[in-house]
Amino acid sequence: MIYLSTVGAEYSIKGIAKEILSYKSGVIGIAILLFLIFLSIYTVITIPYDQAIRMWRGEDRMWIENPRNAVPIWYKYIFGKNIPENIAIDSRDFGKKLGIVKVISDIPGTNFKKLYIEFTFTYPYDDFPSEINVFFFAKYNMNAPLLYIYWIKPNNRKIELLSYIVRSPREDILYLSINPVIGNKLQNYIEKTVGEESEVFIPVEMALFAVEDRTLLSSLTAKPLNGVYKVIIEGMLFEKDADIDVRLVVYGKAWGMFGTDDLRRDLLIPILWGTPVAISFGLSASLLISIIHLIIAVASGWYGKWVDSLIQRLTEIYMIIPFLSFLILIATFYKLNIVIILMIIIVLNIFGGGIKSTRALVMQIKNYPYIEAALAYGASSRRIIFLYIIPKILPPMVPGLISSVPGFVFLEAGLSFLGLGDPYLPTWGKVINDAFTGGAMYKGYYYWVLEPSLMLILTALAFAFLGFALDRIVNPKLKEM
Amino acid sequence: MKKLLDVKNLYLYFATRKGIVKAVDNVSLSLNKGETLALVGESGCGKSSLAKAIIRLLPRNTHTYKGEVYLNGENIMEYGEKKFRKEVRWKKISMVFQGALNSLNPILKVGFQIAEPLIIHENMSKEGAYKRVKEAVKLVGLHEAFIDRYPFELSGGMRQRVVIAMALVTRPNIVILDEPTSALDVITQANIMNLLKRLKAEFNLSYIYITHDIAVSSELADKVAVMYAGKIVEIASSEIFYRNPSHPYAKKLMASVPTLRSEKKLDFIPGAPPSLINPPRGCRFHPRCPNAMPICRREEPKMKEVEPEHFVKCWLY
Repeated sequence: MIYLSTVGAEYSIKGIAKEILSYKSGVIGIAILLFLIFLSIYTVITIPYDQAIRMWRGEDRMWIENPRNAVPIWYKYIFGKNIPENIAIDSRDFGKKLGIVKVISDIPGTNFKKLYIEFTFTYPYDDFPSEINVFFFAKYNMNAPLLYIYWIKPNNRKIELLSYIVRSPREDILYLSINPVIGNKLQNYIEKTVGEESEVFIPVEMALFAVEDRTLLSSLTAKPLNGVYKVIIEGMLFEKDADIDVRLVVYGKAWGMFGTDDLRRDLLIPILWGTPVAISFGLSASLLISIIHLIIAVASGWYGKWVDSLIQRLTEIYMIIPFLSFLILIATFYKLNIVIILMIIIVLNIFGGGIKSTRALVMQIKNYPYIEAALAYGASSRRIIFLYIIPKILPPMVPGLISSVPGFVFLEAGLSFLGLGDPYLPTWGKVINDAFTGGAMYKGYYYWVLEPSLMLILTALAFAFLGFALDRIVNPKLKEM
Repeated sequence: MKKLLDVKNLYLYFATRKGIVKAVDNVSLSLNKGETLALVGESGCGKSSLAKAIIRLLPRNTHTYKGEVYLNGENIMEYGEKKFRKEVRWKKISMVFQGALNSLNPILKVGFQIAEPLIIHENMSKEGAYKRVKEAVKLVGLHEAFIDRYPFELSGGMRQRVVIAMALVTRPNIVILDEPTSALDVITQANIMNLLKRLKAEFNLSYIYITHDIAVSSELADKVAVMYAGKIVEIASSEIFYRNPSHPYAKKLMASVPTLRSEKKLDFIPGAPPSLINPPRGCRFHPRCPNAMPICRREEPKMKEVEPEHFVKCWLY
């Protein structure tokens, strides 16, 4: 009876899992797949669908403080370079953090008030920041505050950047990097300091952070000046209740685990959300198509005659229909969400080539003596199909099912890459598309292309490895001793 | 005695690319209750086709299927497919197929498989059916524990017992045994034959025993029918047949059986069995017959009763 129980185990899930794990490819496949599934569950729980969509759309300028096209933070470990990260200083943190001073003093006899804000920060990085913005949160009724902004470098040179009148009582952003007044002023300043004219425009963030010598005249040689920087904002508030807070953001060139894209969005969102989308899309497409093929093939093989002829002719017609062209055509005309895309893929695959091979199996099994015996003791067609034929052809179908998952994952990515995917969902294909249109390869933003590509490859590998192992299990001829 | 099964003028032709195969060509035979009819003949002479014609298990390429089959006086040929399935197959006539391993579904446990006919025909619950299955399994001399095994875990003899249990579980009157012992070793053959004998006596079963092995058929047969090229050429009770076969083909068959004790030169039949697509005109055996006469080539002989319970189809008589 011991023998009986061990043999019985081979048919259980536990037994199959055990057998899969006896192959190296099975272990690798299962490990990657488990990791991806864990990642999917984690993603869906921590970033719910609605939130992910909102984040991906970038509602409410939620990404405004992210640098554009920032590389992942771990780049610094690979390239051994201290890549600048974001520095954000907010006058509302006065008293809570070091390096912030904010003083508002009344001017006696008037409603006017004098403002003094001083930010102090150290800049230890090996590269220039990507962008500098100043955010103003002002409170006034009629008369906007007037501000003077000064920049003090570690070498104690004080540069007056500009005088600025706040434009809106709610949120106002001064884009320092692209402000032409500041640009011209700095250009003059540098040329005077270095004593030589610059042939090219010196970017603002470079002028503000560079060592002030001849190297600064070319962006290839300019070096950042490390040390303590100060930003002083002096100003006048013209009303009694007026107030203003300032937030300085010095954008870095590295952000998060996955970096950002050209719209400042954290690539973490699409990389994480791409996982459940890809896996569920690939698996459900593969599973549903396999089940449909199974049913059609069994009907074709078992009932024969005109049913068989009809199904086989339909299959042959379907096989010559250019599947991808059709899909692209449909997806171009209608902006489809992912479920509809899945449905269309299934419909376009109803009579796929898989039917031919499964039907051949059915034809073979149909003539087995035990089927004849079952017919003899009066089993109905339905009973024979579900109890005798399908269980028999299921095992050889499973590796195919698993192995065809990557195809559908790539198909979805391909559609997204062509800009025909789900318009809302953040997916890997869409990131590759963004990277392509954003010129990632030309500009050297390799992480932007490689991250989603690696995730795609990882997914494909997981299913491929698992498929190999399963193939060897159900195909005893391939079995290794 | 009242005839349990009476087959009259049964035809079963298959359509193939090369032509029409006349596998069963105007065959008549009868079977009484508790009687065993051994159907002997070479491979490919239509024995199994005859069995399938009786139980109406027709392949897709059936060309002609006609005749009368009376079961307890009722012509079951007139039954519709559904009625036939519900009331005849396994209810009245069951079958033990050739090659026990192949007739068991490898992915179903033995017990479930034996229960299948019960579940299908008697709408029994699985538990109720299993009770009967256990009885049947014990009846064929297997331990109850075997019902939880898969076919591949059993030996050839055990599988054969399982298949027999499957045929008996619905308590039919007639069991068609299609070469039940052909793939087994001699000891196991003897065991199975004894089992069949015991079951027959216990339940008063009727067997149609299909075999190419005349020696083994003598163990069980009450009546012997010799088939040649789709036709029955001789029917006789076993006492008469084994002692005195009359048709030249039957004589040759008997002469080709080896015996253990006496020195005997084994005889064989020259030539090959005729094609069932284009059988020879006249008597189908005439190209190989040592006693062939001119009339054999021209006309087919009629079945003739040469002595009581001994029918031969030959111009010699």
